Amino acid sequence: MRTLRRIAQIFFFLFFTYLFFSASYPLKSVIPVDLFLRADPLIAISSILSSRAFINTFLPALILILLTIPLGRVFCGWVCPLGTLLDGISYVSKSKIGKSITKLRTLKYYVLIFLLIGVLFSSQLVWFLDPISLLSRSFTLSILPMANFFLAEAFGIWFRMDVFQDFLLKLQGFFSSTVLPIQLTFFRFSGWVFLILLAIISLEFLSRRFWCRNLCPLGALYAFFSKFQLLRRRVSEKCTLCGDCTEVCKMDAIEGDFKSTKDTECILCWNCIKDCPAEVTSINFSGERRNLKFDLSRRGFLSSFVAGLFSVGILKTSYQDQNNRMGLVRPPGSRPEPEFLDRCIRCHKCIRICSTSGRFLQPSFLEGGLESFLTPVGVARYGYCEYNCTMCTEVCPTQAIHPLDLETKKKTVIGLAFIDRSRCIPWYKNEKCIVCEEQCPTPKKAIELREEKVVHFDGTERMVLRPYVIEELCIGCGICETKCPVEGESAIKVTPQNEQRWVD
Amino acid sequence: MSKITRRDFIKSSIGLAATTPFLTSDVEDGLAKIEKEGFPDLAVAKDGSPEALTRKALELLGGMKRFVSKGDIVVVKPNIGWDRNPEQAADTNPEVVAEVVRLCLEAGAKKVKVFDNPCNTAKRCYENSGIKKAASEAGAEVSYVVDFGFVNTKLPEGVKLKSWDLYKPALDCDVLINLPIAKHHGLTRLTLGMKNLMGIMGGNRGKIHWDIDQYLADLSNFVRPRLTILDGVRVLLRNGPQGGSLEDVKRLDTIVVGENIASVDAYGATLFDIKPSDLGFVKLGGQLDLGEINLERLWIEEKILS
Repeated sequence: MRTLRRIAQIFFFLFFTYLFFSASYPLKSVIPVDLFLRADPLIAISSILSSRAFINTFLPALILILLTIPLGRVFCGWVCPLGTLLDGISYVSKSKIGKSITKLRTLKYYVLIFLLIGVLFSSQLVWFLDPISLLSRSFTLSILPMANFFLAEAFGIWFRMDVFQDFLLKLQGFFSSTVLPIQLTFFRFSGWVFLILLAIISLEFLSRRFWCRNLCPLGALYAFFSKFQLLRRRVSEKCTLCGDCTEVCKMDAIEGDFKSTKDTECILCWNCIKDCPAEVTSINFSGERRNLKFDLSRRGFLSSFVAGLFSVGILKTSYQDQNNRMGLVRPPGSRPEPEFLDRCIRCHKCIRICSTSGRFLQPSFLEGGLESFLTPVGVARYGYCEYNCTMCTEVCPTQAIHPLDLETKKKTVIGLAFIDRSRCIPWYKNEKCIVCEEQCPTPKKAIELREEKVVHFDGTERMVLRPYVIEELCIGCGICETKCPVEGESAIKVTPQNEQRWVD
Repeated sequence: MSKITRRDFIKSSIGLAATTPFLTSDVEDGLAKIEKEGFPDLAVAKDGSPEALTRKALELLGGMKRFVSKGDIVVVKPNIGWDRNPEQAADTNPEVVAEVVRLCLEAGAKKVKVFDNPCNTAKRCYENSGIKKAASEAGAEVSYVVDFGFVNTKLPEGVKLKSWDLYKPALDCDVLINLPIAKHHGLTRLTLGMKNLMGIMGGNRGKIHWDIDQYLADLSNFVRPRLTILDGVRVLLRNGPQGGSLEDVKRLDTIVVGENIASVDAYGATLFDIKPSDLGFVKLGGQLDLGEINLERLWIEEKILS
């Protein structure tokens, strides 16, 4: 069974990675690329409570809850890609099992309470520590861009050496037609997101699965559902009390008598069964049920409750700079801002898939206040919303971005471009440019050129083609801002003026 | 000012005397007489399938074997600039691209590479233009333009464009075939062969619009593709260079082929009823010896297929 468990872990990790890579152009995966997020009960519960709407994409999460009730935290032991990653790190580094401190162990429940209090006040916080969202985010913002960078760098060195260039280009072609973007991608906060993942991995050296034992809110939720668990570890009377099982228990879930188990902690990894010299341990459905304790103290409960309240308060009352808000262009199909924030779990699936298309979306900083930290926002100087693309709307597990068909999307206004006449070449120095007009994708161009007779600085008259934005036609895709050849700040900028949000 | 020595004077006088008879005979015969030996300057095929037009136009010019020898590495550079489908006429017709690839392979090319540095997302353009599929099926090696392939290149004769990041595989090949589509453009009025070469430029190439005619002439003068094949199967009359509305597309079923890029562009202008000398880049191209732009001085073979 242990071998089977390891195979399952590797399979699910590869499956997670496969779905991550499938979230790219062209999007033709039959399996939803956000399946792991859809099957995450923590995200499901928090999104449904926070948005006060039933979201049908979360049916897989319901199945997982139903499975957890008889089977316990089997997800943590067999499926969770972050758990597998941590196991892998431990396997390579041979880190010690380590003992747990009971008090620390309850921390994850307080984390869960803290996060869920926010949800009651429509404040999405679970994303910060939900393992699936966290891993999805880390892959998107830091792991893949880094891999891509190193590969491109190696290719570049090779290319300059002038040997086997054809083979090199073929190899690069293979990578770019399978897993890698053609261009390098750069993301805001990639370093911070990487540091958080690194911190979680480093904790592994304190004890095995430190994160899962003490911090993971999803694990805590699963522990809660496993209260009536039937599939449990049992030790027969023939136990020789050798204690070998405690040496292999990743979760330190075996009590001092070696026979009883902290069932809320057990992730059914089968290590103790495999490594029991007397072969007296088993995991099965038979036998009595036991009520499980969570060891929560009233003080701890109240503290996390109050901490949750305060953080909601801080988030909801944080100052929103209206000047910065002007720069907050949301992806097409986004719901009205409050509802959007209720739903967005920062899994960055939209950002990931956009990085294989127009590279428009980036995680936001504080433009929309503290509450919208890390939500997807269009940064038009870096990328733009591809006219023929609907992919970000198709991969949002919470439907913060509602699915759009291509024809609707093409007509969905996400903003309006403004020309900065003090920077625009034809406007401030009466010379040729018009790149914005050339790039404008609407069939009838939203940027119109008018030939005007102007008096130049030196007093001479000349004709110049000047761009004008036609407000009724502009959809705010931002390609004009991306491609504006003026160095530094663009001479044409997209703002959320005129934006249309999705209303059910 | 350099001093003219007696020796120089005599030498140039002799030179002038030697060429004078030809010049005068030219004037005497007028423009009507054009040499009919060898091959035409331009070949134009009209009214037929894109493949047949391409094949015929090349045949009129003496066949692909004139340009591609056995074992050559050929780069075919179509316009794959936009995320549009073939009907929208923003990218080179995929059937034309495929036929050119086949002609090169038939002529004995060792390898035919097809690529472009697009404006929209590369994968989207390659897929939706139909070029990736058509060209690879015809036997070409279709690749994406990658950052590390650009090398800073000096253009010694450039008036305005003196150095730029150019795509090395496009410069390294034995034969470069420029394969533009003819369409409207807001600044240069039309985009034809010379503007298509922008696809081998990297960096902030939007900047070249600030003096586009000179930049295009400099670039074409440096790159000097062996052959320019202008796709006029469908042309975009308005809202170019990417269009999007079928109302702006006109079917002309025309392919123009020539060795001199400016001559091809000059002919291309007439497809839109524009005088070649009204296009700044064509005019400059003519001055830089990129081809005669006065169509009356050219030997143009036209063939209507159907």
